[in-house]
Amino acid sequence: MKQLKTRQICFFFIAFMPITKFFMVPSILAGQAHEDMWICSVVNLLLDLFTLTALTVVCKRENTDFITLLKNKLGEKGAKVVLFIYAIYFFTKAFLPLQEQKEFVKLSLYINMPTDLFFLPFFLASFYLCLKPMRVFGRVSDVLWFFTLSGYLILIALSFNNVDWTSLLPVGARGVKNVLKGSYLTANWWGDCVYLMFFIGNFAHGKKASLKIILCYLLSGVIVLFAMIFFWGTFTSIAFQQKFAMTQLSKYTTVINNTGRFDYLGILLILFSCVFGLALPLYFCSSLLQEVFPLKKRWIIPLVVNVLILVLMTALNRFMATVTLVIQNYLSLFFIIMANLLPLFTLLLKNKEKTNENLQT
Amino acid sequence: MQLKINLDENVKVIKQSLKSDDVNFNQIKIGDSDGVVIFAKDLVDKQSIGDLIIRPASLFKGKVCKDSLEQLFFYPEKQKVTTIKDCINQVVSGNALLISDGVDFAISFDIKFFQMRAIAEPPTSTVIKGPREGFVETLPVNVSLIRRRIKSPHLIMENTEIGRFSKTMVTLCYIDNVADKKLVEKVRKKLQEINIDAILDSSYVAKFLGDKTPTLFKQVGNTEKPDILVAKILEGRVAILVDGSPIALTVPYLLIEDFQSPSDYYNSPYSATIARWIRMISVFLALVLPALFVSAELFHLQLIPISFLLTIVNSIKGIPLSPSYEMFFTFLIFEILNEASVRMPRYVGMVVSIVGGLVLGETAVNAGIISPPTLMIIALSGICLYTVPELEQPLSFLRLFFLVIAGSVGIYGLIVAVSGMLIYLVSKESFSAPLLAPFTPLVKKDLKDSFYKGFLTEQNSRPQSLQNANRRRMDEN
Amino acid sequence: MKTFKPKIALFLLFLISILFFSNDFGLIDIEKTAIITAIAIDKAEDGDYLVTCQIAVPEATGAVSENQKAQMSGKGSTVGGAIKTMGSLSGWFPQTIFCNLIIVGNDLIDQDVIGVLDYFSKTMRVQDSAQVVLAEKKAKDLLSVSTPLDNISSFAIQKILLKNPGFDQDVCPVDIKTFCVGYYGESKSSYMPLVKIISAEDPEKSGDSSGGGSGSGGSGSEQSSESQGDTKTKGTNAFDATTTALFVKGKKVGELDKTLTHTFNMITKKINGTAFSIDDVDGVNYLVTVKTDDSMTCVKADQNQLSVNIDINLYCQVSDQTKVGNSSVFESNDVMSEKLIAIAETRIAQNVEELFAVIRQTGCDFLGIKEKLYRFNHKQYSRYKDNYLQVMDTRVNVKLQGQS
Repeated sequence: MKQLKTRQICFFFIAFMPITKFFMVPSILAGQAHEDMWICSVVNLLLDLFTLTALTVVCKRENTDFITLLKNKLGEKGAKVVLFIYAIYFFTKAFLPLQEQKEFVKLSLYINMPTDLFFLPFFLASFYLCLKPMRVFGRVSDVLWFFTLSGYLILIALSFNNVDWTSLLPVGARGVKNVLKGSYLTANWWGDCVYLMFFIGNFAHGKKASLKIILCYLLSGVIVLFAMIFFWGTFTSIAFQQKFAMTQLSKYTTVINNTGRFDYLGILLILFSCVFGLALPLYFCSSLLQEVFPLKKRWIIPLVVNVLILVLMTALNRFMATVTLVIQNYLSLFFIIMANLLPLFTLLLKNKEKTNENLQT
Repeated sequence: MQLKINLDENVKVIKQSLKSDDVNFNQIKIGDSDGVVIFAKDLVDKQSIGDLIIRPASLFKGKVCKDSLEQLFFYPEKQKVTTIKDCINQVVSGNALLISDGVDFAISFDIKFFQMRAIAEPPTSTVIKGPREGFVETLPVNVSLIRRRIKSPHLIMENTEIGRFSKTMVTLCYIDNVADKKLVEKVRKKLQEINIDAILDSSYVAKFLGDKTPTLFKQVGNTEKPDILVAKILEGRVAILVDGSPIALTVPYLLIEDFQSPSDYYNSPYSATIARWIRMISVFLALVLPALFVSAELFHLQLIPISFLLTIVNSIKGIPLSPSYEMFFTFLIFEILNEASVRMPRYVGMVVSIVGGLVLGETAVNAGIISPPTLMIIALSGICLYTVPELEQPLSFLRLFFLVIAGSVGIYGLIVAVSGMLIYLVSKESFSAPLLAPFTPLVKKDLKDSFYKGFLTEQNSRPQSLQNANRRRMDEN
Repeated sequence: MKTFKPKIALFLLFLISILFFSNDFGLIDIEKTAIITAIAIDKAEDGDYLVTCQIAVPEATGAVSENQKAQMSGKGSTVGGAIKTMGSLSGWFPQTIFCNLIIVGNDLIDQDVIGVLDYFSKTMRVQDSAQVVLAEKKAKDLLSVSTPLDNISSFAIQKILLKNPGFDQDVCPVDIKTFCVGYYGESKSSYMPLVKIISAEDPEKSGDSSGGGSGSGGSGSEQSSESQGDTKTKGTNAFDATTTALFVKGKKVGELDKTLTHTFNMITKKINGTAFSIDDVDGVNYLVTVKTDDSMTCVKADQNQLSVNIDINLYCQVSDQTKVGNSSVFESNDVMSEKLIAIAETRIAQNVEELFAVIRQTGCDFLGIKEKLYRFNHKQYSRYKDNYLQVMDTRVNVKLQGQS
């Protein structure tokens, strides 16, 4: 029986694709491309949509999951090498968003500087999630898209009045180089289309499923673009200073002065989705490592993955600025290859059994 | 061991097993033969013994033989018993047993009679409009309440005895062309696998029907109202009735069931929808309000408007406990009062309310032990909790858990804890039905009777969140 | 795993219980928290920053109106450092998240004030939606003023900064974000209201600053507290913020008086529902309410010319009129007469021209002309960006329409 439904894949992208891009990405882009920052995201989005379209073709064609397809094509050992590389990719992909989330929790959510201990519960939840089957993500997506969208709409609605729409002009004045550099620097946060590769064969490909998935991804991208536009329109020349974009957007509403930060309701809703969104790469990392090193005690690998990233985050805490720069400048190409280029090769993967069946009929 | 032709031998063997003083061995004459009527004196209708057994026996002339004994009694609920073991079982079950000299069998008469509670409105689910009947502790009465509502040959009642000592009658109840056959088989198998000395209440059975590992939320639904039970059976669920328990069980169980009040189905769908939303909001508030308040006081003052913050600071001045301790102990006091008010006799219950609610609360605030906002938050959270009384136990636990988490690591910990709860809930199933259905997995059609209450005329099909053999409920025209 | 699960659960329960009951992981007791409502920054004698915070101290009576105010001061080479010093010496944790007012002392205007405000702009501990004002003299004097307007002086100042329909829009409030956006923007120009202490009974007179505890001596902190509950001690001071201080690259370069501030608001902000006076039109003083403000600034540039067009379109109604002198044309009518409209249009146009004169004179592009040039005429931006103030051709078109 298929673990997921097309609807859940659609909700999956709406729930998890935008949220990680609401924190550091806007300020990084503002520093690089100023009023053209949203164009950087358009570039990333188009790249993702291209890969996603290719993957939907494979989804429609194949009834076998990606790992089996890989094993059929490359053999057991070859498949394990590819899966191991993808496990590393997911591990590194998780690092920066987790770090920024930790910083956000420490700096923005708490009135006094808390210890790293306050972020520890995340790893417990992540570990627990890693033990669950893939259908849990499908079911969680069924409800979380609502939280993500509600939180987003609350923040956008509250900030609407403060947006200077003319600040988006002139379009394209910063040049192609700056735009492409912005896209490159934020490649870590994009590339969510790669998840579809691991859903191949795991969901019932219903009527117009490909179109629905592509449209939902596009919708998620549009949500991100609007967030970028609102962010720049609110902060314009000081946008590069605003570390955690979404939390900053709505606080200029006059009612906030009298009622307290009730915009935090929207922020909390987004944070709720974020717990799952950030655990997602760790989940896939654990699952792939489990495939590579099949252990009887299935809890060991998730535990190791979560502890390892926690230890790394703690150890590299002092050098985080350098680490961020290194990941942004030197690993972005790796992220683009893994998320946008390699998945295109799935078009070449065909289920041998199915091919034979087709020949027979 | 088979019964023998010799009466004395049979009586001797039975007496060795039934030593209890409440078992009567009454010697009678059946024509020319001797006989003994054995019965548990507090379980049978003594008038019936006289009218149905002793009177025909005394009117009989001649010697008892195999055929004459069987034809002597006209009572329809009689049964021929041939073994000592069955004889004993019949007596302890409340039947009267007649053994006669000269025949190698006994006759058992189902003339049970014991005091039972009248059918009344169950205290846990009262309604303003709608049927007020509730189940009682007597199984046949409960069965009759269901049968009265479904006059169809498709309503199936399967009886099983469970409990090595108690031999409690358990009835599996379903509609054979609506309930999923696999589900019925699964429940039947689970019931057969129960191996326990006694079943004292339906909750005993519920424990065996659910997962073997302990779970926070129940996995078996329950109701005390026959109309609700019938509605659930009609949706494709299987019901389990237990003799001695006024609470009937239903499987599969969905969490949303507890948000569906009986009155929702008898009132206007608009008011039912609003009431349902209020219940959902209340449960949310009950769960997170104390935790949110404590975390805001400790870690996130910015969430509180400054004028309210000043009021809070005013009110907590001089209070010896930290906000988290204060909330924890107020919570503890609330739970103690709750426990006491449930356990105490009713006439003292009123005193507990006054002493607990007014005197203790007021005095504690005046004495500067707890602050008014904390008291208000706990009271509000407590009241909210009881809008869905069925979930009181797990929610009460979660409320404390969230409070401790929020008091320890603040709002982010709370968010993660709620996420953990969501992961837990989405991965739980009751007899293959996801606990959070129809929200996740999303079943759009079922939202009509979950997120909102649609018009009855629009609910053409049975819930798709459950596996059922027949989806159609009514014709569309 | 089955036997492992309860052990993990027990361990976690134990861990959480310790956290909960020890309750000491950087926690700051709410009672030890100083809820800072305003921050005043002055220059100390030795060149350091002297930061004075006004703190709302609630009384145990439970009535918010009985709140006390207290002040804490701290000194440091940076603003953040001064706030830290203040906290460490007083024992109170300075909770700046509720701070809605930043007062910059007059002695800081010679240097780049962004050095003062950047801390608030970057830190997450202060809302950058807080209003920022310039004090006429010492910033901390504003916090020490007793005023009948509110128990806490900073709240009184915030009240006059609010945009209230029905009031004159003579104040041009600005928050930290807006100030910084101007500073980091193309024109590097920004502004903030200049707050003066006046007498509440006679606004023409300067008020007495009670000046409690000015000039903290050494590097340290001081605390003062006074009960403001008793109305007898409230004094008769009020605040005036109708003058707007202009900044270029963070340095004060000039001021807009009340009339020009009002005209500035008319152009840049919607002043719907506010009122302004037109005095001495044939011996009658008028108060005119703006029903709809439909003004806009337009910058057009080509290779030959840079023009700045200001169109002010107001739909107005007479709210009040007072006869002065020996006027004979006094009519009680809420519709503006042709003559009144003509005079009002002329006066507003003159005010706008004066605004342009101030812009040229000070170099403070508070109308955002350079920003508009960049956004709407990007091709010509490089041509005019350095000399636009000198070469721009200004056109003012004021149109008032009477409404009943």
